[in-house]
This record gives sequence, C-alpha cells and structure tokens, in this order.
Amino acid sequence: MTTQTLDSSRIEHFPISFFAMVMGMAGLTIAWEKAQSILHLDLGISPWLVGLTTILFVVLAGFYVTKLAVYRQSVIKELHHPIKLNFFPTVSISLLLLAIAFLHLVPSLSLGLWLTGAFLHLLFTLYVVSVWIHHEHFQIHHMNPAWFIPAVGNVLVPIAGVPLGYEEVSWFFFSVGILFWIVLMTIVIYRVMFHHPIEARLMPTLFILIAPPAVGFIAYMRLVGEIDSFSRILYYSALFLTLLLFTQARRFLKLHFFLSWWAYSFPLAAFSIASMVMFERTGGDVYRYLGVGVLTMLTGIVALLLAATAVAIRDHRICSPDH
Amino acid sequence: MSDANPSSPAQSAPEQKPESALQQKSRLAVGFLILMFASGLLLVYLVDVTQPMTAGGQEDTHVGIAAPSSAASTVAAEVSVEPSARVPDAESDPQLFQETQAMREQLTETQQKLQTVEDDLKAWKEQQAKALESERQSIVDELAAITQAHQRELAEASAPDRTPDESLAQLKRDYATLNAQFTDDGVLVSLTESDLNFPMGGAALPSERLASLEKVVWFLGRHQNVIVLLQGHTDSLGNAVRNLGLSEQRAIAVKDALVGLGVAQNRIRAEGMGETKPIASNDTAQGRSRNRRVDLYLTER
Repeated sequence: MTTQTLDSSRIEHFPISFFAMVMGMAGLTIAWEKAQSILHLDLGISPWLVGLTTILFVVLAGFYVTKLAVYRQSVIKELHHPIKLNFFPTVSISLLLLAIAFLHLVPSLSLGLWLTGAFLHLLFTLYVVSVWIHHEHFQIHHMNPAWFIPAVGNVLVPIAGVPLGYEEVSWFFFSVGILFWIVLMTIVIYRVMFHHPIEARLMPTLFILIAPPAVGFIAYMRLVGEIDSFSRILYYSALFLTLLLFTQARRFLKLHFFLSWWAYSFPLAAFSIASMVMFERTGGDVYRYLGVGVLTMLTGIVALLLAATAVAIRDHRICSPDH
Repeated sequence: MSDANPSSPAQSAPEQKPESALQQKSRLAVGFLILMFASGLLLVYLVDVTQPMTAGGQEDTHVGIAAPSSAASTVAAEVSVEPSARVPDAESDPQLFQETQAMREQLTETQQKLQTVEDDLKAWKEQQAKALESERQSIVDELAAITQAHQRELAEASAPDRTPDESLAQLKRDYATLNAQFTDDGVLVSLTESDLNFPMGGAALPSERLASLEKVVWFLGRHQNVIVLLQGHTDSLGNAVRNLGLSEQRAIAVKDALVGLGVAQNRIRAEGMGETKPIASNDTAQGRSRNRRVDLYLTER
C-alpha cells in the first residue's frame, strides 16, 4: 500500500524534463550513425542505440500520459511554470530526433514521427511564445537557457524534413528557429551578464547555447547543400560556444546531479555531428578528429548521466515535489 | 575551553572534507572527459592506420569535394526536381553510404574502361591513316615514275633536236626533282634513315621498293653520263671500327639495290665513312638519326 501511494505520488511529480534524456540518447544514436558512416566502420551498435532510445521514449511517454490522465492538475501546473514550460517541446523534439534516427531504417515510421513532431512542435512554439508575450509572472531571473529548447526544435525540423520531401515547410521552421535563436541569445547574454547568476540546477542548460548554431548548421546543409558563408558562421559560432563552455567545465562539475544535466548531452551530440558534416563537405581532417573526439567524450558523459539518473531515481531525488 | 580547542579542528575538518572531496571528484571528472576525448582521437587514428581502404575512400571524398563542381550542380538540379532524392550523407545509414560509394567506384572503373577503348580506337585510326597515307604516296610515286618514263621516251625521241642549253635546263630540273644539293664534292642527294629503312645495326635493305631509290634510278636513266659515289655514315654510338664497317656495308647495300634496279655497276662506287662526318650533333636522338645516312654524290663524267 505504501509503495503504491509512493509510486502514484512519484507519477504525479514525474517531470517533463525527463524527455531531455531522449534528446541526449537520440543525439548520441544519430552521432554514432554518422561517425560509423564517415569512418567506414560498422560497429553494430546502431540498432541497439535506436532500440534503447525508442524504448526510453515509449516508457517516458507512457508515464507522462498516465500523469496527464490521472493528475491533470499537476500537468497544467507544469504548463504554467515559467521554467518547466520550456521543457514541453522536448517531447516534440524527441519525436523529430527519432524521425532522423529512423530515416533510413523505417522511412514510413520516420515520416509519421516527423509529421507528428513538427506539428506538435509548432503548437508548443506558438504556445510558449504566446506565454512569453503575455507574461504575468516573468522576472528576468526566469530567463534561462532552457528557453532555447523551443528554438532548437524548429531548426531540427529540416534535418529529416528535407529528405522526406518537405522542403518549404523545413525552410519555415528553420527561419523561425534562427529568428528566436538571435533574440534569445541576446536576452540570455544580457541576463547572465547583468543579473544574479543562473540557479545551479539550471547551469548545465547553458550548453543548450551550442545547439541552435550546431543544429542550424546541419539543417542548413540539408537545405542548401553546400558550404557557404552562412553555414560557416553557424558552425564556427557553435565551435566558439563549445570552447567557451569547456573553459567553464570545472564550475559545472562541482554541481550536484540534476535531471537538467541531460542538457549537456544533446548539444554536444549536435556539435559532434556538425563537425562530421563539416568534414564530409570540406575534407578537413581536423573536423573528423574533433567530431569523433567529442562523440566519445559524449558517450562517456551519457554513461555517467545514465548512472547518475538511475541513482537519483533510486534515492527518490527526481520525482519529488520540488522538481 | 579544553573541550572547545579540540572541537574546533574537528568542526573545520568535515567542512573542508566535502570541499576537497568535491574538488577531487571534479578533477577526476575532468580527467575522465579528457580521456574520453582522447580515445575518440585514437579511434579515428586507428581506423586510418588499420584500414588503408579508408584512406583511399578519404581521397575519393576529397576529390569529390574539391573537383567536380559540375557534379555538385547536377546534385542540386536533382534536388530541385525531386527533393527526396538527396545524396545520402548526414545521418544516413552507413549501408546506403557504402552502396553509393560502391556505385561511385563502379562508375570510375567504367569510365576508365571507356577511356581505354577510346584510346585503342584512336590508335587504330592513326594506324589506318598512316597505312592509307603510305599507300597513297606509293601510288603517287608510281604514277610520277610512269609519267616521267613516258616523258623520257618522248624526250629521247626528240633528243637530236635538243640544244645543249635545253639539256642543261632539263638536268637542273631533274636535280630539283631529286631534292639534290650542290656541293663542292658534286651534287649531293642525302638518303636518310627514313628513306632507307635499315634495321638497327644491320645493313640489309628492306625487300619492298624504296621510293627514294627509284627516283635516283629514274634520274640515272635520264642522265647516262652521271656517275654515283655512295658514302655510308653512322652516328657516334658504339665501336668506331664497327661503325666504319657498317657504313660501308650500307653503302654497298644501296649500290646493290641500284644495280638491281638496272643501273650499270661501273657507274657506282660505294665507300664507308663511319662516324667521321656527322652533319648533326650526336648528343640528341634526332641528331644521331640525321647522321645515320647514305650520301649520294652525282657527278658528270
């Protein structure tokens, strides 16, 4: 009886930010697919990674749907939370990422995932932005890099969208993503510079800053197909932000584990893939080494994150009321 | 007091301990991250070392990126027509990529084959053209010989009427036909290597008729008072004594050929000069080729 009440209360506090895990895992999967392709290597890990990511998504979605059905009120509370709100698009982003991972494995499934993900993401973006506009309770300290999540999702759309044949739709999402990237980047820099520091719990979300230019670069390569000035600007911005954040590594590592740590994973995967795409287009060996190096480091990080997440779940530190 | 003193270090110790433990942990984590990054670099390096095929494939990609801008535009065109027909690259599965790679290799192979066939065809065409040209030349020569023989008959028929001036003019014209040069030693007709087709280091003339010799025979037929001095020459390669012998044998071979074509033996003298009288530098293949020759000096008795 006790365990049941405990379990049900945990479902009640099941955080939407759990889907950041799927983002990280999917990013890792896609990055390994890419790495094996450029290294002409078949490690046989792709099906496992894709399978694991899919199962993770299905399980998390199952939990969240249960929460939605049973504790509708707490879902609505999350939707109104100034920070947690931004994690809702991680669901649609997960769908879009799965669409990329399945693109060449099961194209029809990929199409379904992409259509659902893109549509859902448009809704989330519209919702999140309208909440931003009609803010009643926003303070500058609510501004945190998690706000980038809706923007990232938009630039993610063309990566599967172009191969699936939706070029103009992809341009639409790409434009929206870049628009918000520029706006949010300005606000985040302003907030970080002039106001009290971001909560420790959300510090890792700074890594999301890497994602828009890195993902934007990959998407832009899909849309345009050739390296040009804009694609270079995107890639090197991502490179700079990566360097910047790694110089802060010691600061991050002193923090205790939070679910938001998963925010490290996806942007690093995006940067790794961007470097490998850069290698493909320019032939520069530096990009290959950089891409694969970041990927293996990311693999290490994901392994740690999985372990830390498992420990946190065991110790009841995640699905607790304050998260 | 006595209690407080030992307790203060005991209190500060647990405060410092998590601090240093955390620092140690973060240092460990930094080390771990660097290690993981390095293992990626090592992976790429090992792949490069153990798979020479990969290096080749890399070359291909380089070329594919650097060289064919036309290929890129073709791809772009394809894309505009059918957006789903993209080149498999980012996020694509390795299988498709490998298939594309294999097809690309096949294409290269086919192109190479095609090139070989084209080259063969070109060589064959050239050969045919050469054969036709030589045939045409021999026909022209034969025709010229026939015409001139006919003219000679006519000339001989009308010879008594001819003035000395006329016969001199005729002689000059005929010398011109022979491509002769006027030198101190007499009128020189130089028969080069290509005129005579001697084998390498040998003195046997080819069995087929030589246009160059037939011209001489025709001339000697028209001008019975002209005698011939044949001088064989070689290049400076090889033994000088042997070259002297070879040049003489070649001169004699030409004499025999002329006799065989109906020139009286007593009108011809043959001698070998060896490598002593080069007309071009022996340092170059072209010069040596010009030096390997038989000179014909035509003098009136």
